[in-house]
Amino acid sequence: MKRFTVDDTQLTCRAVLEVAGCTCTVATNDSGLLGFLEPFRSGSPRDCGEFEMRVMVHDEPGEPHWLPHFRGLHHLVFASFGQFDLFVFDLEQRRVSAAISKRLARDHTFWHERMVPIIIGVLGCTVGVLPFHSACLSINGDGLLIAGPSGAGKSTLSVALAKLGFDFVSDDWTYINCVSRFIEAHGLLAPIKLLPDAIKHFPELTNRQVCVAMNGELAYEASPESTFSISVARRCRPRWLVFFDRTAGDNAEFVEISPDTALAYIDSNVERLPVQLATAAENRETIKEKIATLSCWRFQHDGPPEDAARELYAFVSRQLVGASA
Amino acid sequence: MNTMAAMVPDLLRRFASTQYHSRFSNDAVVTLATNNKHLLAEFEARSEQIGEAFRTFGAGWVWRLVQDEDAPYDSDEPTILDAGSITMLFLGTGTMVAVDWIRREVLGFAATDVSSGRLFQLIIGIAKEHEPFPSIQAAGQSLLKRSIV
Repeated sequence: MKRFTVDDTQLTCRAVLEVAGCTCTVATNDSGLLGFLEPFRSGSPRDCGEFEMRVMVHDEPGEPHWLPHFRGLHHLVFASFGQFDLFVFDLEQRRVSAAISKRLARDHTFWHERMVPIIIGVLGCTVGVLPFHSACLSINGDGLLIAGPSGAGKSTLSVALAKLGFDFVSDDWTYINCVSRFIEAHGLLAPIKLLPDAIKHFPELTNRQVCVAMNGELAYEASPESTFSISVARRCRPRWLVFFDRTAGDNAEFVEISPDTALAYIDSNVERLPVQLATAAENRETIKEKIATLSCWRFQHDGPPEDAARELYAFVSRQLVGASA
Repeated sequence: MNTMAAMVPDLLRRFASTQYHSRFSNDAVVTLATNNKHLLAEFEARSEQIGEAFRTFGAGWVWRLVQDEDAPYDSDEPTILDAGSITMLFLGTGTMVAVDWIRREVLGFAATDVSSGRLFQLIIGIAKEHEPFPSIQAAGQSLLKRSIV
């Protein structure tokens, strides 16, 4: 039997990170891991949720081919990425504890593309963050959330919009918290995930390989900055929520949606929480309600993403002009 | 647009049914809920051992154990993760059982190939090897209250 102990006295490498607007105190015995997390280093403490992460890196071999396995009950979530790569999330204490191999500790892709999004996805509800299934773009700090089912083309539309001048925040999951009376939307510096047919629209993907994403889909994973040379913003203040409906007719159409309809959609897309997390669920309601009171629209378009992006760009421009008039 | 909240998939199986219940009035007073009536019977029959192993950590334990038909059974070698107030047992990738010493809860999922007897022995083993209060509470202290080096 192997036994790993997450012992604070051995976790001497420490840092404070900012993840989705929250403060994360990380402690580990592996300075290399802190190096990977450097892009998340916090410049100054933010008045927001806090959680902690304790990672004990051990000498047992890691196994690269194990599929991750997740389960949860009450206030706990458990995850295994192999026999010796183990995580437990305590949502009551707002704490992640892990014992992992050096192989996993030094896997930059694992931390940036998988673990950081997973951590905030699991703990978010307890630190005032709502993981919302939407893309997010920003223009001068004003945020545009683009919701829609998987495969609707959110990522492709996001890249096309960013090429027109929007700042890219996220293409799949956006992390939303309350700051004072407003909501703030955050991305996690994760790569953009594009389905294989995206190569028809983006020559930048030529010579890149599709890979298997964590959800099992085949996809291109590309850096917004180095692959597409588009501008990235860490956060913005959402102003519009657009439901992208690609199955409608040929012409672009914008139909305004009531807050009740928007709230029903948000409810249908947010993870249920057990009774043990009732307070977290209650706090989450405020964020959901604030999202639903944004300017909400259904955007129907079935043409190429470049055309959809131009329509959406023009729509947002009209809204901005209308607001300033 | 879909308005059915029930359509959100329960990826973590947090809402797995545990329809069989029992309360053991042993030294630790344990309430057990599970979806496996054979496991319930096995644990009921050995409730005295549970009491002996867990009484050091107080009374009023809540146990919830789910037999997980989708859990892989890829190793029989147990691995323990001691994380302060929580001890985790992993058996391969699919069997995961947590003991929260402060909340007095035993929560977990077991692959169908793990027998009730084996699971029982492993959980009892965790309690027998664990140190009692007050060091558990000390281990559960938050990093957030400490200074950062």
